[in-house]
Amino acid sequence: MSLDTYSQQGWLTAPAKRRRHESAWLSLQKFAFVNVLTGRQISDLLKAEVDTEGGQRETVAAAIGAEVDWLRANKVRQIGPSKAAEDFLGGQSPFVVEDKCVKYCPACLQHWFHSTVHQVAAVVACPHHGVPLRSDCPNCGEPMPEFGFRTNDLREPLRCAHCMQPFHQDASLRALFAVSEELKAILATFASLEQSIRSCFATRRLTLGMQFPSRYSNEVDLRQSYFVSLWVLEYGTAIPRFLADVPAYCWGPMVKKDGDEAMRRIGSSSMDERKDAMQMLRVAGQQVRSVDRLLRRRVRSICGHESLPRMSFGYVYWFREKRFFLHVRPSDCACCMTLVHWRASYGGLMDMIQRLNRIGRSITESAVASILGFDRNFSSIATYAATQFERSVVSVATQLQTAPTTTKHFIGYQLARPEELSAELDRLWVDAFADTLDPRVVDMHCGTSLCRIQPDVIDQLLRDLAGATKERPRDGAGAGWHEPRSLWFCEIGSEMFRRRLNGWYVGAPRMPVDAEGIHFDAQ
Amino acid sequence: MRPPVPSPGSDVNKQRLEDIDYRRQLIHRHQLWENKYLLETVVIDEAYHLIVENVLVGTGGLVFIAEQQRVGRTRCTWSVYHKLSAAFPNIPFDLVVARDGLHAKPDLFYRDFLDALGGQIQGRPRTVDWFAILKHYFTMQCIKNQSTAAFLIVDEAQTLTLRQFQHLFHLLNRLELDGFALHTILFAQSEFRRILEMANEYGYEEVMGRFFVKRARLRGVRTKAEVLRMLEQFDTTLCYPADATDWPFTRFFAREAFDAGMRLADEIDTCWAAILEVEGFEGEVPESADGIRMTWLVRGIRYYLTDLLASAEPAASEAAAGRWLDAMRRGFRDAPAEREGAAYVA
Repeated sequence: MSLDTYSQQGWLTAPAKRRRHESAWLSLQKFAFVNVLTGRQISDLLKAEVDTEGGQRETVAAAIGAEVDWLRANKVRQIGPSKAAEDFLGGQSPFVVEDKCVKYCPACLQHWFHSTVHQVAAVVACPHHGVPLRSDCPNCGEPMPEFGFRTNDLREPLRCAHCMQPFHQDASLRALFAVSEELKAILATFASLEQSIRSCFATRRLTLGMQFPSRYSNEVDLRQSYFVSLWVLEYGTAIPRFLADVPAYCWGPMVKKDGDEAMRRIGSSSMDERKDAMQMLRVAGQQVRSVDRLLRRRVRSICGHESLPRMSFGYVYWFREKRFFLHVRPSDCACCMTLVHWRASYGGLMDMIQRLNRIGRSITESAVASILGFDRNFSSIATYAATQFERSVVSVATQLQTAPTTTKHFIGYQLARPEELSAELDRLWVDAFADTLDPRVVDMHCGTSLCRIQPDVIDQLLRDLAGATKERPRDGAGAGWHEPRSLWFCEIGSEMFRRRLNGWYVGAPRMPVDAEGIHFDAQ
Repeated sequence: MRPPVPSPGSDVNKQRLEDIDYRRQLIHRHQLWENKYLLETVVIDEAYHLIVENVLVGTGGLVFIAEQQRVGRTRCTWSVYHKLSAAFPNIPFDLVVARDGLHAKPDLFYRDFLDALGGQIQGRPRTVDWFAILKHYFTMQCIKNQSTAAFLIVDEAQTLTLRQFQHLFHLLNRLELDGFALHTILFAQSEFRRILEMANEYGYEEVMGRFFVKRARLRGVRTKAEVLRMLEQFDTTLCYPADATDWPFTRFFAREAFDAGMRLADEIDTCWAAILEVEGFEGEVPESADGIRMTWLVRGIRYYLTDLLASAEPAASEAAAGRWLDAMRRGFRDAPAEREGAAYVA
C-alpha cells in the first residue's frame, strides 16, 4: 500500500523518506504518538474486520512497516525469539535481530532515528557514528523495551515504561518527523547499507560454502566477524569494500580476538574467553538459522512444500569404530532436498553446537576447543552429542534403518574430495551447464576443503542421481539401495579422515568389502 | 482533503471513439456529465491572484462571498486549490467543506472538523483528545512539506457559527505556539454577511482579525469574452479520455462537424445572444448584476453538445442558433428552485 493510499484513509504518517529506513518498532511508536493511539487501540484496530474501503489493518501495518498477519497474531503477545522479530520486519530481514531489548545509538536517537540494522545481533556500534549502542533508558538506566509490538509498551509512546520520560528530551513533532541535514546523512548511510546488503542476499544465485581457517595458518584473520563469515557463506567472496569501510568493531565481539594465540587460549581455563567463544558460537548459530530460514522461504516459494525431511544423527560402524552421519528422511522434491543438502553441510553442525550449549561446560568447552581448532571433526562433535543424546539419536537412526518403508530406503553418499567431486560433476553435466557461470569452484585453503556448489547444480545433480541409479544393480553387503527418489546425505570429518577412506563417491556408493555391520536397510 | 478528480476515462477504447454509437454509450460517463472538470475563468483568475497577494504574503483571513447561488463557488475552490498546489508545491494546502451540524462543543467540533478534512476518526475511544489530533494533522502537513505555514480553504463557510470560529481560533493559536501558522481562505454564500454583522456586533474581534480580514465578491460570468474563453476550452484543452488530446469535448459530441471545422468558439455570437435572451438582458450584462450563473451556463453548453451527439447532424448556422437558444433555455430553466431563490444585487 502506498503512502498516498493510507494517508488518504486519514491516518497521520511519517514522511516517506524517513519512514523507509526506520525500524518498525520506532515507526509504530511514532504512529501511536501522532495519532494519539495507545497499544490497546492499535490492537483493536487490527482486530477490526477489514471492510472493502477501510482496510484498517493494512493501513496500520503499512504505516509501521510490518506484516498484517504477524501484527494480527502478535498484537497482544510478547514477541518470541528472532523468528518473530524477523517476521515483524516484513519477513525480509536477512539478519538475525535481537528482540529482547531495543538497541539504539544515542547519537541517532537525538534525531529520533532507529534502524533495524541497530538490532542486528552482531552490531555493537552505530555504523554511522561509531558510537557503542546502548540498551538502557538514557534517563533512568532501566532496560529499553522489547523490540516488538506490545500493547503495554504503547501506553505512553516514545517514553520509557519505567520513568515515563521521553527517550529524548525534544519529543515535538518537528523533532520526530522533520528531516534535517544531519539526519539526511544518517539516512543516506543506512539506506546505502541496507540496499547493498539486501540486494546481495536477495540474489538467486546463492553460493554456499564453508570456510574455516586452519589452526596452522598464519593467514588467519580472526578480526573477521561473523558477519564476514556469513558473507563468505552466502557469496564465497571477500567482503565488499563498502562494508569493509565500516569500522570492524561494529560487527561483533569476535573482532577483539587476534591471531593464533587467541585461538590457542580458547581451550585454556580462561573463563572470559570461553564465554566469548560460546557467545561467538551462539551468534554464528543464530546467523546460520537466519540463512536457513531465508533459504527455506525461497525453496518453499518454489515447490510449496511445508514440511521438510528431518535430519538426525545416526552412526555406522566403520572399521570397528563409529562414524556418525546425518540421516535424512528422503523426499521426492529436489527443491527440498537442495535445502536439506545445505543443512546437512552446515546447519546440522551448528544446530548441534547450539544443543551443546546446554550439555555442560566441560563437554562444551571440549567441543568448542575442537571446533575452534577447526578440525571440522564432525564425528567427534557427534560423539559428544551422542553421549548425551545417544538414546534419542541412535534410536531414531535405528528406526530409520530397521523399519523402512519404500520411501525410506537410502542411498548414501558423501562429499568426496573436491577434485573427485569436480570430476564427477564434469562427467555429468559438461554440456548442460557449459554456459553456467562458474558452476562450481573448488578451492583448497590451508588444508581445508572448500567446495562451492550452486543450488541449481545441486538440484540437477540430485535429479540425475535419482535417474541414474535406477538402473544400477544393488551392490555391496548391507548397502541400502534406494528407490530412485531417496537420498541420504552425510559428511565425515576432515581431510584426514577422507584420505583414509576408500569411501563412497557421489553417485555410486562403493562399499569396502570388509565393511562391517553397516546399519543400512538391506531391502 | 483534496478536491475530487474527474474520471480520466482510461477504460475507454480509443479505437472505437470514431463510432457514434459507442460515444453515445459513453455519454453519461463523460466528464461533461460527471461535472468534475474544471474551467479556467476570469473569476477564478481573480480569486487566485487575490489569494496570492493577500494570504501568501502572510496577512491571512480572506473571505469570498457569493451573493448568488450556483455561480460556481465550489468549482472555484477546486480550481484555486489546484492552481495554488501547482504554483507552490512546498506549501501545504487543504480543502474542507463545512456543513451544518458540526458540533458546537469544542472537542466534538474538532472531531467533526477532522472528519470533514478527511481525517481518520474511527477506532478511537470517546475520551481521545481530538484537539491534539487536529493539531497534529496540520503540524504533520507542515512538516511533510518542510513549511511553517499551512493554508486551509473552507467552502460553505456560512455554515460555521462564530463559536466554531472561536474553536478554530484556539487551534490557530496553539499551532503558533509550536511554530506553525494556519491561514484560512473562506468561500461562503450571501448568508455569511449575517455572521460578519454578528461578529462585529458581539465583539468577536479576535475572530474577525484572523478569519475575516479581507472580503471579496464572487460573481458569475459577465462578458462575452469570458464565455468565449470557456467555449475555447471545450474545443481544445478539455479532453475525454483525459490522455486523448485529439478528443476534446466538442469533438467527442460532434465528431463529423468538428472534423469539418466546426468549433464552439466560432458560435460565440449565437451562444451569447441566446444567453442574453434567456436571462432577459439586452446587449450586455448590467454592471449591477452579479453575472450569469456558471452552473446554468455550463448546463446549457452540455445540453447543446448532447443534442449534437443525439442528432448526429452537423451544426448548420441557422440550426445552431435555434439549438443554442433551446439548450440555454433548458439549462437555465432546469433549476426552478435556484431561480426562485436568486436575487440580483442591485
